[in-house]
Amino acid sequence: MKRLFLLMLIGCFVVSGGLITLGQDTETVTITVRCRAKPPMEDWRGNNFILAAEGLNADLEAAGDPRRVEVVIIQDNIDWGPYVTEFVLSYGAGEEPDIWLTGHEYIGVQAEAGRIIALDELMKEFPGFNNVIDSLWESTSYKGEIWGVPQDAEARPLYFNKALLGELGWTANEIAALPNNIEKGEFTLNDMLTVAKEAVDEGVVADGNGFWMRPSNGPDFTALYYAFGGETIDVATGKLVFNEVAGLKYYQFFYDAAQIYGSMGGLGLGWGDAWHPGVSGSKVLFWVGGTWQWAEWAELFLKDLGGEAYMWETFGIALIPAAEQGGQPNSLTHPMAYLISSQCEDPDLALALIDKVTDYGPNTRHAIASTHLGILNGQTEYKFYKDSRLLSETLYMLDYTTFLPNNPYWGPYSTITYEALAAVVGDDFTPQEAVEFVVDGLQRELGDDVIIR
Amino acid sequence: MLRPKVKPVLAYLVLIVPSSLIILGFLWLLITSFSTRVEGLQSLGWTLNNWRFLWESPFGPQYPSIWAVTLNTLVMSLIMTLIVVVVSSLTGYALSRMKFPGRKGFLSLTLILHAFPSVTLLIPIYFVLLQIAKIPLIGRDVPLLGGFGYNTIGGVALVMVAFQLPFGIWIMKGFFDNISWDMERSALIDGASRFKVWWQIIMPNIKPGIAALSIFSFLTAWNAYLIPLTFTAGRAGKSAVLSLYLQNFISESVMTEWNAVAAVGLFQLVPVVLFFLFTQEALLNIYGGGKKGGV
Repeated sequence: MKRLFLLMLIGCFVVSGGLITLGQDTETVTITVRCRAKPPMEDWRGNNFILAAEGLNADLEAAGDPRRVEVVIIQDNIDWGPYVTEFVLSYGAGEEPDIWLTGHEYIGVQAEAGRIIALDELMKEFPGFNNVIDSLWESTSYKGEIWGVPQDAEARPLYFNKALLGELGWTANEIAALPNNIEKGEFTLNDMLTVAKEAVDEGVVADGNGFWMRPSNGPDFTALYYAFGGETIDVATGKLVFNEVAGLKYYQFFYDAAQIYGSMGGLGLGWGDAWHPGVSGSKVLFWVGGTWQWAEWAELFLKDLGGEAYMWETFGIALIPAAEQGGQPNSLTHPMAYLISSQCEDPDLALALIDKVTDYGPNTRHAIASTHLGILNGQTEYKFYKDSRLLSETLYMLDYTTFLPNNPYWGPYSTITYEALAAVVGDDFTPQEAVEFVVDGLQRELGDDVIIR
Repeated sequence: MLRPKVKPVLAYLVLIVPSSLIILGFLWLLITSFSTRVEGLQSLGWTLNNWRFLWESPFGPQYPSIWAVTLNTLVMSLIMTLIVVVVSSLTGYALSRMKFPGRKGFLSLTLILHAFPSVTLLIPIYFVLLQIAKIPLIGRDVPLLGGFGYNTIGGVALVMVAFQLPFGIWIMKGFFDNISWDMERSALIDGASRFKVWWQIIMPNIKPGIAALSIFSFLTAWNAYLIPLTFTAGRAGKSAVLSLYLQNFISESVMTEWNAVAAVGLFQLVPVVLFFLFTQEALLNIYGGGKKGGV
């Protein structure tokens, strides 16, 4: 009896010891993911990682890796300035997220500061990244290395109001042909201003509402600078570039738009209280916006009128017209990218998670909810992606897309060029004065880090 | 010469007109928070939807619950209030009652510190918090507070204390100045220690001052925005407070749901009103303690 009891006791010790050992064999690794996302449209930017963690843990278990991932998501719609400051300050305190989603143009600054890691070597173990559209890697490359994984892309098209064009006397066929005419370079930026002026003169829209750009500084303006032949980066040296001739044409366009063609009245307005209600409320004839705004208008501004169905009846989408007849229309993509902190203790796991969300299912969820464009080859053939009319009809715009440069000095460059633009729109500068202001400002702020051509 | 009955009517009129503007503002807030839309003070449809943040996160399950955020805010405000009141009372007493070298210089310095805009000190404070985070036991992983370093409730409270102390010290010194020396002298003659005099004789006589300082400190911490924004990570992070949480409803790039903002704003207001209700008696009695004209 005693022997039996002793054997049972030993058995219990062995089993419990084994269980304890098994328990200790797994090590939980917490990966913090920080995303900027407008709820509810862009929530999948972070929420996809919750599902990804389940898949990764299964992979780790199958591979006999003792690590298990626990994901912490911090996601809000904070403004860009505080968002970047937060990363910099929290990095200094060792409290930064392991995965940080941000605009690709911040890569240069963060790479130079050593806060993020280059991913080229790690990525070799994740062939899924080969599915990402090649041109998008260009936006996350800096000094010959890849520093981020594209999360989404978008087109910044020219929107036009079909109902207002109808009031101007355009036939349904003429309206339907407009995107094609723009793509062929037959309908130019100046043609657009002429129509805008006509709409103002005939009282179809109020003065200033013929054509709008975004109300504050941002990437959209760079697309128009490119349209006039402008360059922003010198490929050989990686330095920023400003072209005086293209710049003069660019500022002349905005000067004429505001002073002659009854346009650009949206500059300086508040986004939520005036700009969105203006364009979605059929008060503006032409405007440049983002494809992601389509979802915002449908969800937040036009739901009562029928959402997307109403929008397809009322709004049209085209590329940003060429500057000259026969020229190349364009668009601009500002991909968001997942970056990995250089203080992340398990960058392979962080990248494995990013690999999981960079797949057709997760990315399409985000694309549909937020009307951002897909980033994967063949995504248009993916069943759920092709069900979205907007995504399918705008994906061709990636063929015409342009990017912002990845350069640590893009911030001051962008600010100076925008200040000059606001001044010509406000009639404080002539186009020539604007160019001189930009050249002086860039040379003063950036010195040898900018090339004036 | 106005008749006796006309005088109070006039007085009430003078009070009612400006007060009604403020009351109308609060009334609008209340109606808006329970409405789908409003036109002036008229609701175009009643709803509880704006208050759903109380039982579910309006930004999805990954956002912290309003209750966790409220607890963060409460802990931060109480810690800050407690430290400010204790330190200000002790310092104010010493500055009021004792003569020591550098007393006037210290008073002037605190005033100068109070004049500094907080934004100019953000970066130096950040480096101080980085160092505090390295101190064992209090730097990190303190229950409820998180610690006293960067991205902790305790750290934010500590920074708020630093900004509030000059104001607190001057206020408390003023109250101590108004207490008669006679009371204190009698206690000292009877053999009481300085600390006992401060705690048992003087402090009960400056309750209105303590109440006033507590309210100001609590309100400052409860509504603080810039310091929590700078020294915590994310408006939806582990150390988020109510003022940051409210900002989630307001965005520069999408339409703001003002009805929800009104509801969260009212929610943020409730503890402040309660705090005021419990301390207003002491506040209204502000000159009721001690004797004036002491040496």
